[in-house]
Amino acid sequence: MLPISYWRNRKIYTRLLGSRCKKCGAEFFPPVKVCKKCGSREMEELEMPKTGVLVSFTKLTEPSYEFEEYVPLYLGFIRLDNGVQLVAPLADVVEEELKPGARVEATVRKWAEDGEEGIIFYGYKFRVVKQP
Amino acid sequence: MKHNSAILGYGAYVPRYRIRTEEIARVWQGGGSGPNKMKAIASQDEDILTMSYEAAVQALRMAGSGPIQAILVGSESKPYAVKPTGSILSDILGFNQTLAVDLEFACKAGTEAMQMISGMVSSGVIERGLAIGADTAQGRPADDLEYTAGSGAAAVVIGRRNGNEVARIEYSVSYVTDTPDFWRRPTRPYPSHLGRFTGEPAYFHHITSSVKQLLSDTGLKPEDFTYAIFHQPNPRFPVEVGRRLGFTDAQLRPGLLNEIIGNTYSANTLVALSAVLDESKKGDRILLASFGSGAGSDAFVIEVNSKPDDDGYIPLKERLKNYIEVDYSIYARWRGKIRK
Ligand SMILES: [Zn+2]
Repeated sequence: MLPISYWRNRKIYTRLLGSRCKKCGAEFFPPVKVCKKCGSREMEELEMPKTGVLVSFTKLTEPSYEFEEYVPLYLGFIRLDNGVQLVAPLADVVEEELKPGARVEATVRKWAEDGEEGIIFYGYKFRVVKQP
Repeated sequence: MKHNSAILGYGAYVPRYRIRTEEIARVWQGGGSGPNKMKAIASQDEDILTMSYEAAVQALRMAGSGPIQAILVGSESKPYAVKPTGSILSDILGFNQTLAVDLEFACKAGTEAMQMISGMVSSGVIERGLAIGADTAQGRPADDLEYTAGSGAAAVVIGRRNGNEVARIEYSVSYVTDTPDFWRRPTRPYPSHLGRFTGEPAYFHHITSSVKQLLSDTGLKPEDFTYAIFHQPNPRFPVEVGRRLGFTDAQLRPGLLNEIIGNTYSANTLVALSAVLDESKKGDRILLASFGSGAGSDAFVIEVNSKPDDDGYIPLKERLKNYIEVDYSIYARWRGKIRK
């Protein structure tokens, strides 16, 4: 991850900024410039709800080098309360709690650090708040 | 200093992970335990920015919508030596038209933030501001402080009084001296301290000085308070200073958390304030006195007004039950104690 591209996208990473089609109302995360449903280019910015349910998860033990520190890395497939789906890192994981249908909420955690002298990349992670 | 401000929302965040002091003692002493049972430790992906965010989100939700014109983050474990935590937090929270800066005063930077925001509100300069105390405190491995140095954050939204406020900040005093009880030089990872010297000339002298001044200025007596919160570097000191100043165990008990989370440094007294506000009722009066090494103490009179209007709020002590224990090796890995 490069500091400048992180900086440009930081509202996506920390505030779950997505987009909505002004024509048909479809919502997207990450944001898109052209509606994937109706093809309209009239899109507006929209923050996603910070809550949803866990659909499934996967455990990575050999992620790319910048995430090595955080192994094992859990990625959740999440359906937000507006129906938008995304894959997001999970926080404070107890594997037995990762049941399909568990309520999750977004928080902000460290994603990675650009070495000891570089920028710290913060972004959304989801954690389980209620068992199904 | 007379204040004319209110606490509109509060939040405390304690990470989910704990290490038992028996586990720390097993590694360094071959047995025994620390003065407390456990301490809270931040996960590997947490720092004071992420913990401040968690506490701030709670406090802001409780306070309801409105501007935030100042964000002060008190900490001695900033993620960057140069680059304000306050501006990163402001950006994530979506407040850009705001003063944002970091403060440091060992364990009392959080109450400094509270005092300054309250001052800006009381003088009419701002309508609402956010005061935060947060730390991922580090003790040198095997040092006495390693048993208690914990992680946590607390946030308070302070604004003008409106009749529905959670509590009112009525009065505060500060007392400071140059005392070398505990310090850390710029590039060093762990603090240094003068052992027993951290007691009488540091902790006890400064807290008794600020509290006596506060009581004398306001004409209040210990029995005029429902609750008393004193900085908790360990379980014993707050109880001892409370007794010396004429407070009872019943006034102290609701805010005592060191036994199970350790010393959360800049968050310390504000986390305790959250626990007390969770159970207090209209008309209760709270005395809060912080202590920061170096050294100083801020003391406040806070009057409780109404229960917060926040359906989703879970009391702090309820949340503290949901913890996960880790052993020394995981703690060492997460808190950067292993050289690679
Ligand atoms: Zn569309």
